[in-house]
Amino acid sequence: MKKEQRRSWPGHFLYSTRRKLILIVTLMLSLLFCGTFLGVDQIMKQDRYETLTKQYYYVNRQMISAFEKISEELDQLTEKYILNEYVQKTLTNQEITASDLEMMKKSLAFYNRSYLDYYLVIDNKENLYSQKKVTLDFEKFRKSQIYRGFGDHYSKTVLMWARDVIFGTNEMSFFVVRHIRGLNVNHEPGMLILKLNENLLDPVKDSITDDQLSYFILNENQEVCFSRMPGGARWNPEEAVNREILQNVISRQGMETGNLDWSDGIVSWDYDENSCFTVVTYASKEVTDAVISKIQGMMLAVFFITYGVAVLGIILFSSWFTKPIQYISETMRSFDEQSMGNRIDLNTNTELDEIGQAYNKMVVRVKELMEDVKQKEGELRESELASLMYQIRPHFLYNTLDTIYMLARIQKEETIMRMIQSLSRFLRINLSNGNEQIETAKELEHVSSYLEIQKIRNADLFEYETHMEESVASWRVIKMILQPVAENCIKYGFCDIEEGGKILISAGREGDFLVFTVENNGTPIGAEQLEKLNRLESAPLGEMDEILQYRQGGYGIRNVVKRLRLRYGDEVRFYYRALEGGTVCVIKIPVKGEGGNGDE
Amino acid sequence: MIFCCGCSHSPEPELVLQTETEVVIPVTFRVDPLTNQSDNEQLVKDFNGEFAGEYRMEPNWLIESTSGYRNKLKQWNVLDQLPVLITDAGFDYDFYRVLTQNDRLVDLTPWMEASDFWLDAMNPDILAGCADPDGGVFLSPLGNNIHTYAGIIYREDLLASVGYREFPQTWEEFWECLDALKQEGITPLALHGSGSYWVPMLLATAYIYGDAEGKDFLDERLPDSYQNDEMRELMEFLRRLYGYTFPDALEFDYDQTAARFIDGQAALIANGRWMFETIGEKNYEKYRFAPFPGGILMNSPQMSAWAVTKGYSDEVTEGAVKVLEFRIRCAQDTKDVSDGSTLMDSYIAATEMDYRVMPNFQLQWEQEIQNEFFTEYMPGFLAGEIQTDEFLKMMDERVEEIRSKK
Repeated sequence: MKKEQRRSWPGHFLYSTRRKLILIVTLMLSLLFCGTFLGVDQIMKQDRYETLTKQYYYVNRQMISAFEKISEELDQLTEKYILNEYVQKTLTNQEITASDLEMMKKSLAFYNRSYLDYYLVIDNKENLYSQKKVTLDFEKFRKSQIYRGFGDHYSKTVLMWARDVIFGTNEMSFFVVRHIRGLNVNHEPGMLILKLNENLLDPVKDSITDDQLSYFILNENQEVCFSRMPGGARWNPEEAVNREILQNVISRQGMETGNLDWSDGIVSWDYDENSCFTVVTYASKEVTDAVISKIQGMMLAVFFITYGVAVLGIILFSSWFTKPIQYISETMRSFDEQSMGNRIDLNTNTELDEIGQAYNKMVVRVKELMEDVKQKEGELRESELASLMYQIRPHFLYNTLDTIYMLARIQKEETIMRMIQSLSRFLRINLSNGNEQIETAKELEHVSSYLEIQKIRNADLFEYETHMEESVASWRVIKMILQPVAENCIKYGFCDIEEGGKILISAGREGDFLVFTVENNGTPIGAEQLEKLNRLESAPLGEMDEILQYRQGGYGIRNVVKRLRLRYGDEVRFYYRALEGGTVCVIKIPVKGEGGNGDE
Repeated sequence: MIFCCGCSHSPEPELVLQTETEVVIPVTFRVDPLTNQSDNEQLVKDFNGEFAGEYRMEPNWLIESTSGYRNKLKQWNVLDQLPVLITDAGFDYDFYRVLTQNDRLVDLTPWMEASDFWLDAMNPDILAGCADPDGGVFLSPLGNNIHTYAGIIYREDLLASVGYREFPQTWEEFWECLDALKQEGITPLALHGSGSYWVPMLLATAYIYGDAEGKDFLDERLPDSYQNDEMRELMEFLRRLYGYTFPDALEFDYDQTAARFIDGQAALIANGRWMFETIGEKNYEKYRFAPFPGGILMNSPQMSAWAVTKGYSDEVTEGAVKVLEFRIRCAQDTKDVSDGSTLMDSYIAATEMDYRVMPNFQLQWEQEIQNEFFTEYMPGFLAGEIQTDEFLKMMDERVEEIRSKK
């Protein structure tokens, strides 16, 4: 019986190379990931401000760059107005005729843009030219933010966010102003004022790619002239966060670019010297943390992908690696006398091939050793028998028994004559000139001789009968297999009776087996003894002695079973059955071919 | 106009490594559309070589005619886009006044006085001619006139073919020469239409400068009236001149006509030294230079004047002034150099003879008269549709109008 090796829980769980490898990889990668995760987290938290402000600086530069494009566009647009022949004419002392005005209106209409609402040309004599009817109180106009925008510039294009005091809307709007200088002759300059609408900022809007951030553009007076909030929210200057953003930026207005990390997020701003506008980007705490979370999520994803790939690799590798091991293991486990011809055939191009070859060599060696052992055992037994035979000196013994028989005959001692006859037959078969095997008929004669002697010895204790199929009479079996069984019938079966015992011995054929049955009508065999005796046919040879101790009277039976198994292998059956009124012992010996086992 | 430069190929972009301390001087130079060459390419190379690591001129090469370039200058001014260094700063008195009255130019006096050689290199007459009447010097002409004379440039072989070894000394001989050429089937004169009628007007003003009244009239700056005998004489001279040029001359501008002359389609043209680069050194042997009949040369130092504009950093301004000084030094070094060609030898000989210098009418008369009025009415006059007195009356009316606009 195989002994199942019991393992503890972790041992059982970790059984197999694959599981161990997966565990090691899991531990290593987890350790690596945890270390990296914590390290990166630590570094990122330290560098977050620097990284994000760089990013926001870039965003601001994009917006400034868009602003520069707008400035260039406005430069080119205002150039057209300034160089316009009729606009130039307004600076001279020439009379502006109705035809001139019409031509001016027509030519200026060509300069229309989607972001342009109205133009106003004010010549150096304070005449106004516009497509919209405009009346201007020059005293008030000179105090306005728009007028101040002209400053001392010779002819600079100035973009401003100012209240519309010219075209009547009185709303904050974008304006661009520029002096109109005389092309050929020196004159007092005129003024060009363009009122622009929100389409002007289309390039700025287009430059915005991250909708999670808030964007503001402030003019020189720190007024918000453009805002874009996450989720389409509207700019509310009264909101605490917005108020704080503005205060933070305004308090650092002297700095051209700057960043501020505060509890509610990061504010980054950039000042455009050319337009004098400040671009502000604000990222809330949620947004700045989202960046870290995103990176950590990415790391986690990378870890799981790496882990998955590693585990898959292990499974594939271990499958490739453990299959041959399992094959070797199965072959070794099923090793027995019948499978000695089996060989391990491996071609993995690994050390496993050497294990397979070593196993094959071992099997060959084991077979050789077993045959060697068998041969030596046989030789030893024969040697022992020869020695006994020599000690017994059978001829001397037979002559002596013949002499005793003659004396008993002379004295007409029938019983002694019968007894000596039986003993002489018993001993002759017993010794059989040293042969191990005898014919089935001889075996039955041998046990009959024994029972004859016992019958005389035990008066009328029992009767016996023997039956044999003729076909098996000449089959050869190892000798002295029935006598110990018959002895046990007398010794244990008839221990409770004085007379009337009956022993029935038969020999016949059942398929490929020669079958002996020895039945008695004595006391049925006990359950405990029955279990022990029946275990003998399948127990390992080395353990048979432990099953049936010598003192328990099992020596003869154990000896018979052992000899049968040694001789005929594990196909031999030897078992007892308790009958209602007695006990029967069945011995089945495999035969090879019709002529019995064919042994010598 | 810088002889040391010897420009002989078109400007090409150079790979220049800029050091951290190098000051970049943005300039715009004209490239002649006919030759694809700029007079100033060599100057840029020489300056950048001499001041490497300290200053570097970064030119924007503008392919434009002279008049186109001058219009651009005016536009850049009103748009506040003037480069730090401008050429042709004195070509138009009105424009010059626009620049100076609006404080657009840098007064060069402190640099001239601080320089070891600048003032010494300047001819006192030239310096005086470029000084601003309100004080200060805003124009920087070349130090001497050697490179800025204008006269007659002619094909030696064509004149020789009609028996003229030397260019006519008198106006009578001049007409005879033209007749002779015409009879030989050679177009005598390369004249053009549009603009200020530069070439014909050079000849015509040289013609009237020969007598005292004509000289007085031409020496007068911004005359109030053109209805005088000198102008009548000039107008008749012009009408006669156009009998010796291409039949379609009025359809071509100056640049196209110059190309025709260089192409050998006419025997002579009136122009200055600066045209030599356009002719090309390889053609110098074909041409000769001569004063106008009567021994008259035209010279105007303002024509060669450059200026530095305001609005740039002190470093860039300093660099631009260095360019002006460098330019004068280069011109000074090469003033007497002749390459042995007939054209150069004849030019140098003309400048060394006893000649009279007449002013440039372009600087004496209203710009609008030259650029607009002439373009508008001269074709009619030359076609005989407008009579001389009528033309001069209209001219006076336009002057009045111009004055009233100012």
